[in-house]
Amino acid sequence: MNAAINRVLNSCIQIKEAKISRNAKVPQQIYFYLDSALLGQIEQIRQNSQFTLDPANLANLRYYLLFNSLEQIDSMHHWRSDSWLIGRSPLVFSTNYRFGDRQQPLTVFRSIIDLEGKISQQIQQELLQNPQLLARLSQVHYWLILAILTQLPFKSINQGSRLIFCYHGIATIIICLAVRYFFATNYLLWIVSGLSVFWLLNISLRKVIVKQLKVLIIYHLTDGFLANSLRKRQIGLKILCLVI
Amino acid sequence: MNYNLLENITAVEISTVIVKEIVDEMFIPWEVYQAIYYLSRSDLEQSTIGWSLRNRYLQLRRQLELAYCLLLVDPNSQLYNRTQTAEIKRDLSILSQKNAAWETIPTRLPAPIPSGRDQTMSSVNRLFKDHQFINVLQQLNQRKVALDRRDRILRDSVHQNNITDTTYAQTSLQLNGKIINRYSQAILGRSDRDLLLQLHEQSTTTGEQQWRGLVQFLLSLIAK
Repeated sequence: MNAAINRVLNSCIQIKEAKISRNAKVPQQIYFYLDSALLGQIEQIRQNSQFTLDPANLANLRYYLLFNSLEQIDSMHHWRSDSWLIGRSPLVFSTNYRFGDRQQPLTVFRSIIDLEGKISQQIQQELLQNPQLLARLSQVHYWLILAILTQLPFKSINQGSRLIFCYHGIATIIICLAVRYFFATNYLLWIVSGLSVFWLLNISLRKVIVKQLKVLIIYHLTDGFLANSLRKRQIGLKILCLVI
Repeated sequence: MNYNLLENITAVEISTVIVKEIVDEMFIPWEVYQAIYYLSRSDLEQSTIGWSLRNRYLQLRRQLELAYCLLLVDPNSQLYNRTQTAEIKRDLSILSQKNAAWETIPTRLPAPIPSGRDQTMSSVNRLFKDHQFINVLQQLNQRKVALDRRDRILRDSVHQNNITDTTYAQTSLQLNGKIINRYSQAILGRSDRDLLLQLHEQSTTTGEQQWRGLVQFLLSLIAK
């Protein structure tokens, strides 16, 4: 039951892309495609079930947010790359609704969200003639956006921390054994060196290697070799979860 | 000119707009730059733009000049010009005021279309590579689009209660705890006033949640 519901909801989400060169496309905005039947289904789902993004939508939507927020991330984190900073824009979520008597869907709602704190909600004027439909569509439009946004933040994967912990442990044991081999009688030196090695590895791995790896993955996810296909984006985002 | 964005946000501002048609607006820096660069008092007086809006259009030109001058005196900017710093700093006090005196200052912005033999497009292209400048240009473009819409409404409107294509309600949630609501006078005389207010209330509540969702995404990426 839940899988069928999620399939329906995931099928109504589309990311519009713009071609900026022969090979490169950039995500521009997110559309929800609805009609009266789908609107009714979503209203029921809203009350009874939870909506989970499928892996493809999750990767694409994370990529969309990452791509368009990169300038802000750079300003906060002081990462450098001029090529990252061109053409970013606020997030745009639109709802296209197909009225019964029309062939083409009409854009009826649009939310423009800027990290700088400016949010604009646009409503198509024809809807004012039908307050009941307006209320239904507004609720579904806002609910879909929030349901998406709550699923996008990265959650660090425990295996990543476990891997780092194992690496620390093994490296510390090897160095301590070496110290013990050369300075077998000096237990104090053994303990001090063990603690120092653990501390140094912790700093080097977390502050230098992990940070650089994170920057490298984000760079390749937005402008590099991980950007140009869904499969590569999914791999890049998985690795990102490991190092966060 | 790197700054921490979250530290500089003082308010979340949510606007609700009823529009005739929701269209995809494309930002083309050169087109926007050209449109704002050539705004002048004399041209505006000869144009069909309503007189009540002319000064607001002119302010866009002043803000563009001001933004450029601030980049010229910023040692961290790629556009920094040490030789002109003292002179520009003198002009900044005039440029930062809304009165007409700033119009007498010769422009330092490169012309969108090079006219002289020694002028090239490279100075304009260099400008478009500066992301701070592009940010300002984007914001000025949004204001210009809003002014263009307002101007169209003022000319086409047959009755005063028309709110289409203008922000009819805006709520500013400030960090110091203040909440400021602004409403267009035009909604007061409308029969659907309650519906419009209800719509804005809904968009304010969800707008704040949407912004929080975006911030949480970014924090999940950088905070650890």
